[in-house]
Amino acid sequence: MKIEDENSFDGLTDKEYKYGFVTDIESDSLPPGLDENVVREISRRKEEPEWLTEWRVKAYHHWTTLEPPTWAKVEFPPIDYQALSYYSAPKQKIDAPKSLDEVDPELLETYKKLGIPLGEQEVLAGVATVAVDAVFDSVSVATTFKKNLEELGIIFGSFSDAVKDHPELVKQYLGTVVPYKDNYYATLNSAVFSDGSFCYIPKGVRCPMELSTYFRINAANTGQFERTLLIADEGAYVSYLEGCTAPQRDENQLHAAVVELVAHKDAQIKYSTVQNWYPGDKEGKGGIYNFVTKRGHCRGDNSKISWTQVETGSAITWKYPSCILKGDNSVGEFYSVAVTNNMQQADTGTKMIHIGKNTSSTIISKGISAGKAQNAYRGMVKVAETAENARNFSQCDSMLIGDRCGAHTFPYIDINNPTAQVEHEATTTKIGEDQIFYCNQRGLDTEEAVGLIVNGFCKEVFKELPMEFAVEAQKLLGITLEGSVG
Amino acid sequence: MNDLQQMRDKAASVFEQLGFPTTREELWRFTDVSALANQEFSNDWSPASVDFLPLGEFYLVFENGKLSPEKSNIGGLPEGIKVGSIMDRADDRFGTLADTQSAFVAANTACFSEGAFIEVADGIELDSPIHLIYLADADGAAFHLRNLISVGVGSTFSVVEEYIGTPGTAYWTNAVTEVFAADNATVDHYKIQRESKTAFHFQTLEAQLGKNAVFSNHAIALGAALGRNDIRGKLMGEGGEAICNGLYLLNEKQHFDTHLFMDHAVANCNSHELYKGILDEKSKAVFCGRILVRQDAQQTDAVQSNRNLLLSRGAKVHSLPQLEIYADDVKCTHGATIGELDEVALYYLQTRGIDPARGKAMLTYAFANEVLNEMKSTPVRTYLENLVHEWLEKVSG
Repeated sequence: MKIEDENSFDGLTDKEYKYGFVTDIESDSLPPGLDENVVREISRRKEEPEWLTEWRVKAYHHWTTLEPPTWAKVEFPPIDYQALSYYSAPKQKIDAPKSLDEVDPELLETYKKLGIPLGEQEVLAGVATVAVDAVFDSVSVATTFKKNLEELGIIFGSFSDAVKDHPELVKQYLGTVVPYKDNYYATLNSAVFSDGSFCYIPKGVRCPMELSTYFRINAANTGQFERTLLIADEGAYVSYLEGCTAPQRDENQLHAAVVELVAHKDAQIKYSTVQNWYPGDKEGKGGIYNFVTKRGHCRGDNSKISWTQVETGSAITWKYPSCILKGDNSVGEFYSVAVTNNMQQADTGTKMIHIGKNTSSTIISKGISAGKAQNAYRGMVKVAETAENARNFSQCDSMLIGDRCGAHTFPYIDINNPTAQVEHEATTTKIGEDQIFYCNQRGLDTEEAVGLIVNGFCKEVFKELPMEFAVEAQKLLGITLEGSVG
Repeated sequence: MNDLQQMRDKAASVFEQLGFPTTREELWRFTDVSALANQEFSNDWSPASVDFLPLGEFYLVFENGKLSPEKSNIGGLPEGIKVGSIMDRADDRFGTLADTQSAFVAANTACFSEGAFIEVADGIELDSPIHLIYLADADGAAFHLRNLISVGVGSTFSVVEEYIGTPGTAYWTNAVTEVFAADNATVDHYKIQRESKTAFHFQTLEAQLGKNAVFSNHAIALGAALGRNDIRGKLMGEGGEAICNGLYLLNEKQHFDTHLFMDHAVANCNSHELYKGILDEKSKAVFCGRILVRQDAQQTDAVQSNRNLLLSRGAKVHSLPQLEIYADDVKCTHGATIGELDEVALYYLQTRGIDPARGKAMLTYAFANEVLNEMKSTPVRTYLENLVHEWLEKVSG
């Protein structure tokens, strides 16, 4: 795949966060505050079955007993959970559009601005080969290609629709990977999640196109709580993309999502994320708090889950996409690029829990820190006593640009079986001055040179991304690092 | 030591406030000290009948926590070197390095009644190491030992701390050692821990390095049911170099924990750390190595590696190598590996006529030997080579 794309440096001249606009659209939201009634009201508005309402309420009550975690290497003032609004939906959704033509043109315009093709004709014309579920303020507004996918038995759409149309599937899988008691933010999400994507790939089906969810935060003072549930049944394959943007606002906004993946026997899931929430301004004002719980469960033998993430946005990122390798011979992968600039903070990594025999995992993490940013890799590799011949390789590299930023590495390695082979390596270095000089000599200015070097540094991860995302990721990297040199 | 009582009172109140750490604390996540916390220790003293082998001309012997002038030999020390009991000396720097917020250091400060005091003047060179020998066989006793080692400008000096216990006796050693290495000093510190396998052993070693000082620490652990080394190096002057190596050989249900912290406070310093472990039966090792590079500590070169060999089912390892870096012009790496012996290497030896049992022993010894090879003192190295051989024979036999 061709990575060098001269256009990828166009972004360097854009000095502002490109997706910072606000869409003026009527929305239907709950007043700020959180108690049991709010949880029940959300559930009522979404016309959910009783078992789900009760599940939410259980989660809410458990949440009230929890304290926010403090172990991550990030600093922020305490969040006032009563000042947030827990439900905001574009008004039009209430009369649910039957087809794309009925979707509010404002919304379509928004997604067009973001470069997300929601019109299927564009796709048919060869612009893209991706089925998109667009989530606007945590409510799914449109799903493309639903029909084509249905022919194959693939269920892809909003979480709310899945609760209505396939309650047995949702009930069977919801909370089995990330239980409602899992952690502070996941528990909060379980109580108040508004929408998200649901996807089920039946036995033996190879999903013919990339599935994608595009998250967009628009409303102010609302918390965003999506829940994604993705199941690949025996022998199925799916590649899933997730993208995110938000408007530029002075307040910090909370985004606490949960993603659950289940891979049955011989199934494969590839989950890619390009996270570009609004990172706040140079002084660290505003930006999204991205506190996300993502976990995949390799339930059956020979299953595989692969996480690829490019994290360029958010004021604070707190995210550990993990794999539980339960099936024998199952494989977990984690490829990550996390870029922080200005006052951004990231504490991200993965957990690989080896339970089955002959399980293997690979972790490649690239952290880039510039400005006054703090970037930490935190990961765990655990080999249980039952995991014969488990294999792990981890490589965590950090690059520092400027002398006021920080890069940290905190791996946890727990080995309980002697047949395990586990290797962890980490390096931290400065961006190569001689490399920049070399580029300068050849007529590239320093900013371009930094872009080139950083892209090279991240190549191992970018090559895991689907084509369209790889190009976008490279552009984002350039934009994020703007102004970090010189 | 007028302030000593004040210091003790303060430490006692800190301990009262903290209590023994629990596994809910990040630094104690994998090491449960409740067995120690729930036990009462007596202060009765009795002489110790434990064999020892002096590794140099000069040695101090402590019997069940008390200095034994009869068994020691510090006569004829070269001029400029003072060796004696910490109870007889005063040094302003006492207690300035050891972490006052650690429960074990606080307990030690409040209770210590003995330890070694070593002062080496500027420009002294001593080839033979000073051997500090701590013998223990008093069941139910607690020994709070406190050592202070100060090495002057440009001096070269080595010291061995060895803890030996009679098998089957249960006691608690809680030692704190502070080392001050002045500018251009070279200090080799060896720690050999051969406590009884039913004993508790905790030590905090804190070292501060001046300009161009070189400090090396070699920590070998074979004993104790529950043991922990807290090693903290502070690089306070440019050009300093710290080397921290370790080897732990564990079997039965031994639990051994190493917490290493290297603080690069200034620019142009190096630190190298190599920790290796061999674990048999149901033993468990914890290794946490943290390298902190502060904002202005440019040109830092820090390398850390932790390698573990698991010989049996039931053996467990928790490895946590950590880098915390706030300066950009640095070169920092860490690595950790955990696994069994390499089957290909075993096979290779077999094809050369070496039977699997012997091949296994050879490879295991070679694995451990990498740490011993780094030791400069020949008598110490030879002594340890024998100990490692003995241990391996017991394990394979």
